[in-house]
Amino acid sequence: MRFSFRHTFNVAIVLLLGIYVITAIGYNPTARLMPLVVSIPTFILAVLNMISDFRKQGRRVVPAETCGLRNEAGAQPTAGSESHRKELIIFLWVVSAFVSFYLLGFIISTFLYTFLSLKVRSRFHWGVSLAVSVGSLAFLYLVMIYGLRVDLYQGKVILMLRKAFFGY
Amino acid sequence: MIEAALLGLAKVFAWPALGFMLLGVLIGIVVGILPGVGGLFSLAVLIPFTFKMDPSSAFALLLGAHAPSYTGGAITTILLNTPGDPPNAATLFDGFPMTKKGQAGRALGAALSSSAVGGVLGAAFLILLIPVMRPLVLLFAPPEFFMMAMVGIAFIAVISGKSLTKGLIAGGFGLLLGLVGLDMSTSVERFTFGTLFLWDGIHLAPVTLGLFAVAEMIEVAVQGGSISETMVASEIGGVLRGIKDTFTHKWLVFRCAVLGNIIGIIPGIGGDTACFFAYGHARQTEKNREQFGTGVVEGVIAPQSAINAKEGGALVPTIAFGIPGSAGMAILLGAFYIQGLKPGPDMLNNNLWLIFSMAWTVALANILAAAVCMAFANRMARVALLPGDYLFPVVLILCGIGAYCTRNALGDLVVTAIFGFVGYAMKKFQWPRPVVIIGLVLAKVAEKNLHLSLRLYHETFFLRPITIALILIVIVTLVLTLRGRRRERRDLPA
Repeated sequence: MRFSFRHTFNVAIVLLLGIYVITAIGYNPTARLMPLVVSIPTFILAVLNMISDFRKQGRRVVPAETCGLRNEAGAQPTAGSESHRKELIIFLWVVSAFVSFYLLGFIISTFLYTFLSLKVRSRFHWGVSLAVSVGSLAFLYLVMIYGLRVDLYQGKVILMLRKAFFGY
Repeated sequence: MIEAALLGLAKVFAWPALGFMLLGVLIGIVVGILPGVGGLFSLAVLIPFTFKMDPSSAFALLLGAHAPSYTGGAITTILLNTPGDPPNAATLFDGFPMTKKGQAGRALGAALSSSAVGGVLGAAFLILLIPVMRPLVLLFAPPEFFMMAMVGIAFIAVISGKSLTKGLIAGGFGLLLGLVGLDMSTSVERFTFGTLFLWDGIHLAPVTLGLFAVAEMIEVAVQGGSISETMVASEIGGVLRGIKDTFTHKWLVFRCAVLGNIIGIIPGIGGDTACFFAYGHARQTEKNREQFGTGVVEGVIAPQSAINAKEGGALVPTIAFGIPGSAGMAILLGAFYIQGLKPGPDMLNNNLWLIFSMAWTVALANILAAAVCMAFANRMARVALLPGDYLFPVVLILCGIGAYCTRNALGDLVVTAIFGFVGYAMKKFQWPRPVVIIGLVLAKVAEKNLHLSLRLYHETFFLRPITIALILIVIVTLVLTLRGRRRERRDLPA
């Protein structure tokens, strides 16, 4: 039986709920009442769902291509593996967005991330990438900072540099 | 009374109050569209500007900005799967699928017009209910609040989609997320794993942004293309059809507005739940209930009319008792004191015209906001045709800013990112996502009121008349849902 992403997701839910139940048992009776009332039946349902999914998978005939197996010619990448590769790349782009918010703050990230995403990921012409990036930055600055006076996070690196060069 | 109503109307149309209301409406729409910075933000930002204003101008500006924020929020909800305000989350269950089906214009038309009608009805209820307010509010105590939360939780079964088991697990997961943080009764840290950020619990906005907006952008980026591939020229102009839909479903709009208003009136339930109750109600009562979640217009009309009507309801206890019916009303209460007004019987007797003026402002602001948004709705609907490559970075940045602005905490960025991946996995493996949000919204309401009920009324708290009625509603909801599911399974071809 093949252990797919669907199964990994089911197992992760069961583990998470299991940790929840075990942690909740340790609280005092008032604090654990509601968590236990909800988590125990949810955990049982999650286990049943996981088992039923495993059994269904065992019965299902899966085409070789969707499992990421090579076809008889053996050379072409399959649709399944191509899709997983795409997903992984997009996941990395999403993570990099949130890391850049943390390190560089929203203002620099807005420009940099939009530009890199359009130029490197989507391979747009640099002029289009630059125009959209500048437009996004202008919108952020005019609406959020100038108009609504929102105090946006400036970024770990920027704060460190500011402290190093200006002392605050 | 009629004299006070006319004086209130005259004050709304007098200069400079009218100008302030128009300014407020524009601010409210912009703030509503931006994820994370909702109506509360606009109220908090605008209060300092009202220090030197007369009461009618001050409330024209504040209510003008607050009332239409959910109307603006519907735009990004429908077009980008990114709720402008957390309560708009219920609109995306069917709003975004409509956009994917190429009916963005129709969805926008229906959302904007039902918002306007809901807002006007909310204002009308405010005026009608003030004389009978006191006995109505006193009927509700912690046992009733707890059972109201149970009614909401029962809706999890209604909107679980194809798999009830997955729906119940996802709903339970949402409830458990809502229990993270300091326990309100005992101050015990629960599921914080030593993280200070989690003491305050997991907020609705970053979870919603992650589960829906980030997850959708991941999907669009993986699959390529645009949000809607099927939109044709004639359907872009579907705004008028959407408006017509609102009036075709006038009774649904009315029922959901009443529901939203009642939830708004009762302090303690939390206005965010109104839209979910309305959605659940529509899904139970409409003929095409099996199609809900696939992009039906009733699924857009119901939550939008409820959330705009609830603000009129929330004003009732604020004015009548000085008890805020929602978080927005708590901030507005500050404005009352700044203006030297004391909510309660004194205000009902001496400043009745101002209450009418507020009701007129809420009604007019909702109509104006819908009109302004409709003027641009056709152009806005074209967003759905933009290549996903353009939207991907822009929406991710909006989500990041929206999550951070919720409470200026970097931890919310992490929550959004995690739920982005969880949401994508849930969508891919056909787990229902809306029920997570319902669980998250209702968990604390249910727990707090359960403990209060047990302390105040002991184990017999469920024997009160309204509580019994609510228990019956829960039972009927579950029985009807299970029967409907069995019938659906039986009707499926073998």
